[in-house]
Amino acid sequence: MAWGFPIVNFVFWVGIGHAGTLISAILFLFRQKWRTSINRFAEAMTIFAVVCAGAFPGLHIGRPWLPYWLFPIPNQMGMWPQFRSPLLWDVFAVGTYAIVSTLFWYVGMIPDFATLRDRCKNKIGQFLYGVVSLGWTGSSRHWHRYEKAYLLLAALATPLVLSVHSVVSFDFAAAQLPGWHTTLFPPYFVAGAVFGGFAMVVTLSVPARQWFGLKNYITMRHLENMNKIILATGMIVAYSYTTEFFMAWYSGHHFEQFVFLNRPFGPYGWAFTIMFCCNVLSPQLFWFKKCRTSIPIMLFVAMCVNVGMWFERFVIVTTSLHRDFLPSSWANFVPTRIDIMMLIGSFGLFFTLFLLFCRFLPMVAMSEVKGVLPQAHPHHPDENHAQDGGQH
Amino acid sequence: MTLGMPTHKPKELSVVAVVAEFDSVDSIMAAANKVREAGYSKWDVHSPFPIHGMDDAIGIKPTILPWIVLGGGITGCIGGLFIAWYSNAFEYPFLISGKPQFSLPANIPVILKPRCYSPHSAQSLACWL
Repeated sequence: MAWGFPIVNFVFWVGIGHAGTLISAILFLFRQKWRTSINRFAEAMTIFAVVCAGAFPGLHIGRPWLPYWLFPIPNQMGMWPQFRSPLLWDVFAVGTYAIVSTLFWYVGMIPDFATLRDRCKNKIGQFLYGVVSLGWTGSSRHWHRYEKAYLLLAALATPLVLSVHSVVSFDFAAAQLPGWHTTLFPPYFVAGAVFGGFAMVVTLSVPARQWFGLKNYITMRHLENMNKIILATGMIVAYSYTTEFFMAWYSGHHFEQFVFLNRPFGPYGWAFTIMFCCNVLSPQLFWFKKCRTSIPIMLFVAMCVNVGMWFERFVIVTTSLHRDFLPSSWANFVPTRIDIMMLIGSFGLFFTLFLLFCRFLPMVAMSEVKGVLPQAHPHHPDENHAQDGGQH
Repeated sequence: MTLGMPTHKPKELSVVAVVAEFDSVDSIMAAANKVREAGYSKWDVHSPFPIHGMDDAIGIKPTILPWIVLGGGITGCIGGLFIAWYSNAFEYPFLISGKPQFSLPANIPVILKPRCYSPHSAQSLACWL
């Protein structure tokens, strides 16, 4: 179980990222215009979460100086990675996720980089923003290509929202261990990822809109919509928990039944209780509009969900491993000092990257926000402008 | 918003380019329609956000970008499948619990991924063609 803790952290961080891709790709395809002011933010969060996630498999393989062995690179040993292994699927899933999210994020920022280049006062900034804006002039031909490219990127990123965490869940589901070996895992993991990811977006956007004066861009409507998604995905997660217990009973499989009785009543019952209260009970507050639109309550629920989703992965990994088929391998797991420090360190990395992003890159997608303003639409009689503006 | 042609300093007093600035989307659309109808070829509209309908007003031809993306996707898919087959079934066959050396289902997660990211890389390169 030595590797258990890094895997808990890995799944936690990969999951966080999913809200960003959902906002940027799926909500874009569904033409949900409210996404424009939070998408940049959420995409940045996705990338930084994937960076944190990527660090943990690199450490848990036990030879952190050899992670390139994970990739199919010809080498002097004549060895290749095993393409039939779920762990290699993971390498590709997370690798793809990192590449696609970064490209999507970058392509979305090109027009904004051009704005920063034009507005920048110092030479270094002008040069650097000039390089990354790729000679953007705002020409209609540029916009034409840009919009096509963005649409295609969104269409390609959409399956990733579902596939990345499905593949992560295969790490468990393809194993034979009771509590892991279930077909429920892919949808359950995806719903949990979106759930945890939106909680993290709320956690980040509430202070950011306060401190950076973005209240006119990230409005209560955005926060309320995100809280509704947290409630909806939270209910899917609650349903999945219930289904797991039902299937354990219904299967008539002794080991499966033992694992699921051991979860709430065994030595890790405390972790199960935290998970259940945080993920199932706390989002129920969002049934009430007053709670959905109250900043302290939504921060409280979001923090609960952040904690709860970490404990969900801890419960899944630990409860199945600490009571194996072989009683001789039974043992209780206690994280080491190093384990705890690595978890804290990953939060440090995440917030450092996020603050650097806030400092140097456009936090809100400026060109997209301009594009949804009523003035950006031709053939609108003046009297409709006020009405339209209220919606975006 | 400017409507312009490539500009440089004229040596003599002759009209080389015309630049015009517009305050609203409607007026620039009307102007773009008129310029197109007048038959000009070297002109462009610059705006801080995409203007819907401007492509038709200028007469921008559709881009081949989607085909490049499709090509990238197919290449990535075949390439991924080839590496999986070559490394696990041909160059270094390794028998694990009697499972087939090469089977499509076990390789779907891996080939799905190059399918996704190779068009992305192709796209970022092709974006500015």
